[in-house]
Order: sequence, then structure tokens, then C-alpha cells
Amino acid sequence: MKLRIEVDGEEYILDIRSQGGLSEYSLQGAHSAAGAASVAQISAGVFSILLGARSFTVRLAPRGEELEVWTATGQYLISVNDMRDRSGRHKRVAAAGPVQLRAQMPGKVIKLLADKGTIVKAGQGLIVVEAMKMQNEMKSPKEGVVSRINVSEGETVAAGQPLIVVE
Amino acid sequence: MFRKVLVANRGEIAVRVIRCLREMGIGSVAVFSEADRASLHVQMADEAIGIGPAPSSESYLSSERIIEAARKSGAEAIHPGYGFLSENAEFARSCGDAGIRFIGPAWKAIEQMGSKTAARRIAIAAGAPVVPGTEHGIRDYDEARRNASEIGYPVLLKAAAGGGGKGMRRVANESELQAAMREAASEAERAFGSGEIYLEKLIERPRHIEIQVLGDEYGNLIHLGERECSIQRRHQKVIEECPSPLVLAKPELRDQIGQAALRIARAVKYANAGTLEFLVDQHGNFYFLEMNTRLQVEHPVTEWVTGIDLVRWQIRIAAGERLTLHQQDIRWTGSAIECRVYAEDPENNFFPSPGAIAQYVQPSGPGVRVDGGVYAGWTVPIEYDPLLAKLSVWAESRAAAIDRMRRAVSEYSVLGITTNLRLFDRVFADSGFISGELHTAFLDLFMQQPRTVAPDPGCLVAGVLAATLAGAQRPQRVQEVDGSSGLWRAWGRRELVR
Repeated sequence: MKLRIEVDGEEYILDIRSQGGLSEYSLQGAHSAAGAASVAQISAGVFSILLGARSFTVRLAPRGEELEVWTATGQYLISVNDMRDRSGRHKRVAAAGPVQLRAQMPGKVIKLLADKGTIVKAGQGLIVVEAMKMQNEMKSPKEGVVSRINVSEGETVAAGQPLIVVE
Repeated sequence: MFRKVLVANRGEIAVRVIRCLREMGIGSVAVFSEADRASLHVQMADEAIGIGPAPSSESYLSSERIIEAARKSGAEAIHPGYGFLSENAEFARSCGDAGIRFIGPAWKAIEQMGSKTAARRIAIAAGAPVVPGTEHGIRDYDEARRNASEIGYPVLLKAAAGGGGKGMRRVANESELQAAMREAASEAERAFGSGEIYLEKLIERPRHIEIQVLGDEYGNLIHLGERECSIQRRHQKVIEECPSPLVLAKPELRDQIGQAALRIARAVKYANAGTLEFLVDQHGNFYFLEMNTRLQVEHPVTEWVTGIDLVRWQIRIAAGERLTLHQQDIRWTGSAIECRVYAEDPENNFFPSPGAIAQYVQPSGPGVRVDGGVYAGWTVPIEYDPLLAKLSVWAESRAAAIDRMRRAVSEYSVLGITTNLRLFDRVFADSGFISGELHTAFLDLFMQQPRTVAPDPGCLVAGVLAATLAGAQRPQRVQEVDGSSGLWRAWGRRELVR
């Protein structure tokens, strides 16, 4: 079984098959490795992995579309896709067409800095969002026209929520 | 002693105070805003009273609502924690007027130390060193030139009306002075509506070192040594330790700064726990900055090395007890370090990261203490400070404490929100930190350095395998074409039955 794995945005190919109670794996990518592993689930979101005799505890939880994965000395965002799934995951293209500005964190919209129809430069401030007593001015990803504003001042927004479209 | 105390705070510090009250057999009353109904401090207290909507101006900062809650619950005293109303002289006074003990210094002392300029005058009168500078705004270039050469270059031009770096200019020598004055004044004018500027000696690569003092209402006042708090981001502390590495190199410094701190505290007849902050240059010259008339966030490191429970003493002193500790009996044993675990992303400008905590596992074992205010399943609200918990350790030496901290950090797991825990791994492995060469810009410079620690490939493989297994059990989470994940699911099931 071959799987396409993305770790912190870098692509790996994992080939894995069960063999006599162990999982034989081969991971190809920026850091390649191969061997036999014993994989056991301890409880919801908690795994024990033995690579040879090396013991690892792995904790994970969904984070958006990915899995947030914790180990004692490394933490990653991982997504797993079946190799036969040719639809792939489309990276957001920033250059052409309308670009959606999304909230980076949950917070409150403090101020809108541009009205609908305003012509803006790349890097121009569009909206101020506040969380935990810190204000964040979000800037236009490209030159264009503010074609849509989905929020109003004072509104509470969730992480990833679309705020403004620049076309 | 009090029978019931209200804790006018939230998060980890409310939990810290409630724990102490329970140990003392005193009833605890928590207060909470609408955003904090499910917070840990509410669960841990004996009683809990809602005091209003989420914005702190309508809840934790409302003197009226808090005093009303104290009355209603029959609490005889209020512990303010830090932040919120803890340094509000008017609140302390209102508590007294309502017949409720404020657990902290007299309101008069809070007021005197509340203004930076007034505190500076008190320190000068008490014979404590302050950063040399002009007391008032400078009128013209000639006056600036005279003052600057008296103080000695480099100097810093600062806006009298403001802060946050606006209207601030570093001046290395006289040739730069005139242009810098013009720029600073016009920037200050634009930012604060006043172009008034003053001069201060520039302390290069300063350390932030503070002294803990403890006094009672009968004139007994002692210091409990220093805390080094030079590791900061956005002028907020991130790592604190006692002893300071500078004091380890120059042991006489502890008593020198300690005595200066006591002179200032005595000048305002300080009673209860307080902290005096100093800037210390690389030669060990120290200058008083300001006094915090409350319990400090980083108090656990002092508790570790002195063995003294500061919160317990705050309560005892407020109840009118005498301080039975004497200066000559205070011993500092070993080394303690504290890390502030913030819900923020160091890789993205220390951006806040509130949200739901999916998993939360704290370290434990020898010499480890966690002062936390969070739990798995709880949503960190967007309205308040991003401090989740304080991880502190103690060991026989600074080197052993660093080793212990690295071990503790490796056990600490928070999922669902981003924290600064991974940053600690790197800081404690840094040769500059290990050698104790600290200064307040340390972390800013550290963040600009390229990474030197190579990732552990074993962790990556283990992470990928666990994620693959978890993904196989949650096929709806991944994109798939019909029937494509049969193999994978079968593998996931097989691994599960083990």
C-alpha cells in the first residue's frame, strides 16, 4: 500500500505492508527511512510506536484538514492521502483570480480599513483583528479591488473564516 | 485568620491562590465572566460567582461587581492576583471602605509606586540608583548637548508622553544628537500630540533583574533575592530564573541590589509581597526601573530556591500576622527556572493562538511544578491573556535545572492550539543561554538565527506511522476516490486489534 503523506507542507511517499505482526515501511522524501515498526494504539489520539527497539509516544488531533502530531522532540502537521487518489490536494494559488483573506486566528474584527470597491496595493492593510489583547493588521495579498467584505466591525470570527476577497 | 477569601482573578493565578487557600483551610470564592464559566478556577473554588460579560472592563476590572460579590459571599478578604485590579489603588481603597481586607500593600503605597516618575523620585530620595537622565523635558539643542555630555554617550531620546518605542532614538555621539532630536520630537508630536522629549543614559545589552521583597505591617521587611527575567518578547517575560547567572558570577550583587530595593520599599512603608525591577548592565551596575506592588507571575522560582510560600505569607500578613522570617535566615538553595507557556506561535511573530485544547498532558516527576489554568477539552477564550500555564523546575545547579527543564518540556504535550513549548527546546540548547550571557534582546536575536538543531528522523517516522493509522480510522478526513481506501482501512483495523 502506497500513501502520499504531507508533513509540514513537504511531500513524502510511504510504502507500508504488514509482515508477521510488524509493519514494514519505507518513507521517501526530504528525510528517507525504511525498516520495521510495531504500531499500537493506546487510547484515542495516543499511539505507541516501536522502531526496532526505539520507543516513541505519538499524540495527535485533527487540526483543520490535517492532523497535528506530537512527539517528544518534534511536532508536525500531517495529511495522508491514498496514492490512487489522483484528485490531489490543490494548493491555493495566490497570483491570479480572486484571493480570499481568511482569519489566521479566532478573534474580533476591530476595524475595516478598506470599503468594497477600493483599489488596494499588495501589502496594504485591509482589516484589524484582535485576539488576546493583541491587534493584527491583515494585509492585502495582491494588488486589486476589494470585491467582497464578509464581516463587519465588532464581529467575532473563527480561525479560517473568510473575511475579505481581493480581485 | 480569614474564614473565606474571594479571588478577583482568573486563569493560572486564580488556581494558584485557591490551592493555597485550601491548604490553609480557608474557604475560596472564585469570580468569573461569561467567557469563563467552564474555566478551571471556577471548578476548583468552593464557591463561584458570575460577575458579568466577557470583556474584562465589565467583569474582572469592575470594582463594584467584585466588591458586591465579596459582600454577597461573605468573604472577608480579596486576593487580586496580578494584572486586572491588583495595582489599582482606588480598588484597594474601596475594599477597605467596604470593610474587606485587600490582600496586598496599603493603597497609599500602590498609589506612590503607580507613577513611574514619582517612583523614580522616591528611589532617588532613598539613595537608590536610577538610570541617569533628565528629570523633565529638554527645551533646546544646547540644553540637550549639555545634559548628554554630563550623562555620557550613548544616550537615548524618549518621548515624555508615551512609550512603545515611539519617539525613541539611540544617539551614539554628539554629531548625531541634533538630527535625532528633530526626528524624535516630530515622531512624538505625531504619536502623542506632544513633542516633549527627554534624555536617558542608554544601557547596552541590559539584563532585567528584579528583587522580591516581603514586609509586614509592623515594619519588618526582608528581601528574598533576585529573579533574572531577561528572556522576553514584546517586553513580556518568557523565561525567569533564580539565581541570576550574573549573581552566580558575582555573589555580592544579590545583597547590593537587595539592599537598594529595601531602601525604596521602606520609603513607602511597604507591607506584603512586592517586586522591584532593575536594569543591570554587563558590568553589574544596576538601576531602579519600577516597583510592582503585587504578586509577580514568576514568583514560583523564588519559592523553589527559598522554600517560602509567598501566597501564604501574603494572606498571613494581610490577616495582621507578624513576619517571622528574618533576613539572616533566608537561604537560597540550588537553581530554579520557569517557562511561561503561552498560546502563541513563535514561528509567526508570537501570534496568539486561542481555541479548543484537544489534548493536554503535563510533565511531572522530580523537581517539576506546573501552575496551570487549563485542561483538555477547554476552549482558551480570545478575550484574555495567552498565558496557559507556568512550568518551573528546581535542581541543585543551574546546569542541572536546564537539563531538568529540557526533560520536562519533552513530556509536555498540548494539541489543538499552538504554544511556544517547542521554542524552549531550542533556547535551552543554546550555548549563549547555557553560559548565562543574557540580555533583554536575547530572544529577538535568537529568533533571527538559523536553526541548528537537526530534526530527529525517528520522530518523523513515528509521527507519520501514527498519523497513517489514525487517518485510516478516519477515512472521511482524507480525500479519496470511491473504494480506494479499502487496503488502508483494512490495515488500520488490523493494527487496532493488537
